[in-house]
Amino acid sequence: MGNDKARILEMLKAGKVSVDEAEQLLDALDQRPASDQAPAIPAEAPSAGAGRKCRFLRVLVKGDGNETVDVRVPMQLLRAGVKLGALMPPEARAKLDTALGEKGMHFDLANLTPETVEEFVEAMSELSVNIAGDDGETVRVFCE
Amino acid sequence: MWPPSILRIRIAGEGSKRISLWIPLFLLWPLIFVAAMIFPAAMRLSPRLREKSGIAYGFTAGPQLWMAFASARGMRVDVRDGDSRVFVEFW
Repeated sequence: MGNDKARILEMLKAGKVSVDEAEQLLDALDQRPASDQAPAIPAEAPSAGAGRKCRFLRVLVKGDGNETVDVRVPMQLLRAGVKLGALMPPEARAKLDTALGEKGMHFDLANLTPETVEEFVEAMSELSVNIAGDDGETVRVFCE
Repeated sequence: MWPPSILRIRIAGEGSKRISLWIPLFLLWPLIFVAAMIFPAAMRLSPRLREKSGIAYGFTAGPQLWMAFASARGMRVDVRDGDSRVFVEFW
């Protein structure tokens, strides 16, 4: 745990995180039990920043009890999924659009092009979401 | 892009029930690669296969399916609740 705190302080010193972000990270560390092997703080700043390639989308959720969720999804998988979706037969795509529309999601899958996904991935490189609840729940979403 | 070599699975339940698996995905690479390359060609050659739209989609999407499989490298899901844990990671 001491290494994690030192890493956070180094990031603060280097200006990679703000004071508020460092405080939230330190609070999250303090709330972890000593024997807990929950996901460690990432070595890089939570927000990848402009110009830094986003390779993984990371989601960390900690509940008010001992529940933790750590998900890391490669961005390349998103790109591959879009290319796979482009091969979908038009009939199937129309059915899917109709089903989404019935659920209130009026989204045209034909607009989901590789160029759109690249713009989305580039925008995600600056994404950093930190949510802290009153009961100690935390949600962090960022790119690494 | 290299596909994932190993699939790690860990499941821990309440008490002492634990399952830990290391699945060597690299043993499946040749099979998946050959299927991804041969199926689209087979679909083009066989009119009967083209009649089945679902199968046709699967066959033509062979290379893209391979890319999607390869893109899974590094994906990790770790869910814990007390002593219970489900961990899946593609190496």
